[in-house]
Amino acid sequence: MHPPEHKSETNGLPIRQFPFAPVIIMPMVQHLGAPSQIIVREGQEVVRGQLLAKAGGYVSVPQHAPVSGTVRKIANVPTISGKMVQGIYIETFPFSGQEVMEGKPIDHETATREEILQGIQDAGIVGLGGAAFPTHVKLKIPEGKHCDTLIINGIECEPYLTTDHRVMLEQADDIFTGIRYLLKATGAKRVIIGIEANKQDAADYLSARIPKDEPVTVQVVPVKYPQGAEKMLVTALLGREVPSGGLPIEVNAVVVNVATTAEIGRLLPHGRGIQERVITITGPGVKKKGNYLIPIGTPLRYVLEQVGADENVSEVYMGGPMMGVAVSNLDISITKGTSGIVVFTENAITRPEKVYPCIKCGACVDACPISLNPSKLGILAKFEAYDEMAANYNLMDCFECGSCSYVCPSHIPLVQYFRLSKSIIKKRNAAKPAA
Amino acid sequence: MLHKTLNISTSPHIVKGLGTNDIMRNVVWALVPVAIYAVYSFGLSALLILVTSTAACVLTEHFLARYSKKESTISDWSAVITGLLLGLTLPPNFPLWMAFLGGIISIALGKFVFGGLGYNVFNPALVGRAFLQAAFPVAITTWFPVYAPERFSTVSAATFTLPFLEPATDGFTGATPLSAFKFDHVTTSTSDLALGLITGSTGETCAVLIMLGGVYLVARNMMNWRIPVSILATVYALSGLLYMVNSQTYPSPDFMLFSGGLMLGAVFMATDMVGSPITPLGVWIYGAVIGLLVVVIRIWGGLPEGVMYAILLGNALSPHIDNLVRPRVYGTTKTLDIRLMNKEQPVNTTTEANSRKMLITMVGIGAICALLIVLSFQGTLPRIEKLKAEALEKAIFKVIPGMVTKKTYQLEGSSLKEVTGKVKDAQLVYAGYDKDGKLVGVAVEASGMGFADVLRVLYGYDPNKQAVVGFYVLESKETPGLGDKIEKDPAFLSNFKALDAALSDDKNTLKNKVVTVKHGTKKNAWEVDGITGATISSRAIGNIMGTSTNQMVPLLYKNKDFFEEKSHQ
Repeated sequence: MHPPEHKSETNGLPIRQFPFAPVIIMPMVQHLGAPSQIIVREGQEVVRGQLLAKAGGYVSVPQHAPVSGTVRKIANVPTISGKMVQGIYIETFPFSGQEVMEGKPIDHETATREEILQGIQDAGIVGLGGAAFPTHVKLKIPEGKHCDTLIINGIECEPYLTTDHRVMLEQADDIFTGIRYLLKATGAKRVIIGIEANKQDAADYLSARIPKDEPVTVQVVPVKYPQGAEKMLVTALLGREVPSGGLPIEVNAVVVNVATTAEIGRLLPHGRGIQERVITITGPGVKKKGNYLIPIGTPLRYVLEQVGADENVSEVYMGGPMMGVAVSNLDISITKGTSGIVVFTENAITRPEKVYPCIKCGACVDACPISLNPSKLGILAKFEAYDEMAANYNLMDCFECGSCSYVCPSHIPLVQYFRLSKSIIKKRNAAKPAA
Repeated sequence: MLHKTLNISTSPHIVKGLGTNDIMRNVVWALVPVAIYAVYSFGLSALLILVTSTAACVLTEHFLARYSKKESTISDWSAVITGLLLGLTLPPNFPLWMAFLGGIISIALGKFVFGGLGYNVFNPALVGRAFLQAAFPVAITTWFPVYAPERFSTVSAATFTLPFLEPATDGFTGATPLSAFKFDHVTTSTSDLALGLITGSTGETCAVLIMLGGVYLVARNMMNWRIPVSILATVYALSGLLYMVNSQTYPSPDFMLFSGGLMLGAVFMATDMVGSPITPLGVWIYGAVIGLLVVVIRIWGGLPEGVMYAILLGNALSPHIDNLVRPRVYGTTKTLDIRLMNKEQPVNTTTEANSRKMLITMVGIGAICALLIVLSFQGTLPRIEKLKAEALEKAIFKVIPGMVTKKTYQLEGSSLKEVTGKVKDAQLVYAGYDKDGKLVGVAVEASGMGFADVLRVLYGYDPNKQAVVGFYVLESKETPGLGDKIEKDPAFLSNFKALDAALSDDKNTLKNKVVTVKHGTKKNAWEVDGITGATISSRAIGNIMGTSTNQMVPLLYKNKDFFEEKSHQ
């Protein structure tokens, strides 16, 4: 499957620093796991890089001030899911130089594996590809398992997005520094940077800059959605299949996003926390398309005002158009997991409203990267046969790439059915007393 | 803009853009060349058939949607496909009212009762055709000559038959390449078949155009190429195997591939997405099953053509095939998920267990039936032949009054040769002599299409009287109580005691062709008085007799002296 890329509009534009918004809104849930715990109080002045909240547990990360300013309010703030969560409003100092506070550096040569993992958590690092799963948890090799290959994911198979592409072209040094930390943290013997064939320039650029002492190879894989999904990438690069329900470590691999790697390489030597990230802002409804380095917590409304949005804006997605989430409220803010903002105007939306019955054409079966039968699953979902979907049709293996919905000529919202079915099954299982 | 209400959609927010209606519309485009050629080769009648069946389907779709208070679904183009396909499978001179009825049945019974597009089990066009085959067996096997010179100016007399009246018979019967092979062992050249220089159903004749349409759809990714490939490959391989075993009895694989409705069925009907499997391996199995059934029905079944039933059976099996042959899911261990005998598989749901039972039962019954058919056909063949020969022997004595001895001759061109014993695939005539060795008549076999199936008759011709002197029905499956009067009705049989078959002055044709007339209107000695209540059957007899005598009597008369001489040898 290969949706139109639309990457050429922004992949040649260098990363530019975004202005600081007058008010920054930091939700305490920007990652998967427990919310961060606020340690500042209203009225307190904070310096850019200062700790605002500590991790709320092991599967959680701390948060740092993206700007120097005053904590105006601690209150519930809106998020993209529609849920209100606790958050911090910071009023930016208008004339501050926005210098970043230094922390305790971690040296990849002297630090232990545990110290590096702790450092990654302390830096508030999560998967920047979009899932926002705390990276230190992912890097922790479970007892009895070992990691032989570290995979750096530079696939970026989502249409429109060029974040990782630009990071690879502009932050090579950070990436290779990050790899040193990751090698130590995982104990891997070799590193493969996986890049899709449509970013040959990035592959060439990185290949030419591999440090002599690092066991790194760059591997170019065919352009194919969803090549960037962990399981797909492991299979494409190593020929190993991640078992159903398992993680890549089951086949001795760990996959880390390339922008996350660069972030580790940039932050850990200074002991800093994340304050900003690279975001592609594009789509038919954007006037100044580009790749911007935007402070975390910048309100979406401010972002769109700065880049100039079309009058007929109709839909805004955070993430790419295949797996990203539609925004209902412009008062939400940029979070650590925001890899792109795609703005569509009314007439750019070609998605038909009319849903035809399933004609069993089999397009979804051909498109499914893990050989599920979405047509059958869709019919079962309509009959609410959730248990059968999970027991006999491997529903829980679905990672919601959306390929089935994308190809369906009858425009049946298949992946949406599966998301709902999966969450219903998870709820039911959670309600069951542990047997 | 920032105060505008944003639209919310669920991901993916973009779609490929190819819609179900686009697919359906393109199938119609792919059928257009086939339809144009059909009109070109069969003329106005074919055009009317296609228009009628399509109109019937679209109107039925529209009114049923309206009746069930749903949005009309004709814009999805699927009814147009059904109508076109139905029309293309009917004979070009099919009565229009029957075609219209077929269209209604296709949509109403083939699709709507199941819940509309996507829910039907069978190909709707084939459901309609199966209905028509059952309801109007004669009309659906009455063919029309290809490239008739007056095809663009006149329509077939049968076309405008009023509802529930019997169609005028100006077509000719039982002479498509397939039935010619099945009943008379005559093969047609492959190039004629491929290019459509033959007769047959409206849109089945030109294999090349059908394949072209298929290639277009495959190129646009709107058809699963594996289905036609697997059907055609199975048919070719199986019939090739049989042909290698015995090239006398079995047709050549090329002939099998290009004759009848196989190409249209394999390319446009078996590939109907709704009725075909969805799994990659299931598609191959489905095609192979259809191919196998086509060969079995064509060669060992009672019908000359089996594509329709083969596809309908394949349709019925496809959900079960999908259930049982699943592709291996990423990250699971089984190499291929075949769930037929695997007891360890947790079968905690009913569909799968049902499918398994269903498939085992159906395959079992199917295999047993196929075996029984083949066995009884092969096992009884010698005895049937023997009985047939005995019956023929008796019949010969019946149709030639006063004969005592018999001599058999084989017709070669216009001359005769005496033969003894069994001769295969040759036109034989039997001369009867009285006790003084004087020729009293010649018995000739003739056959043709009746109401239900092929009729085989034997009649005696006396060259001295220049008349048909006896008649006997050798084989008939006409309706008991009605059509079978042609065998028993004394009044009808008395027609043939002295049926005039006088030759014209040049001795090359009959002065008056034998013809059946309406009951009670017989005026001349060459007319056959029809039977009320068995009109079609008695008319069929008239046709058979007319055709046969017209051809045979001049020949026999020429050889009158030859017969006389032979008696003294």
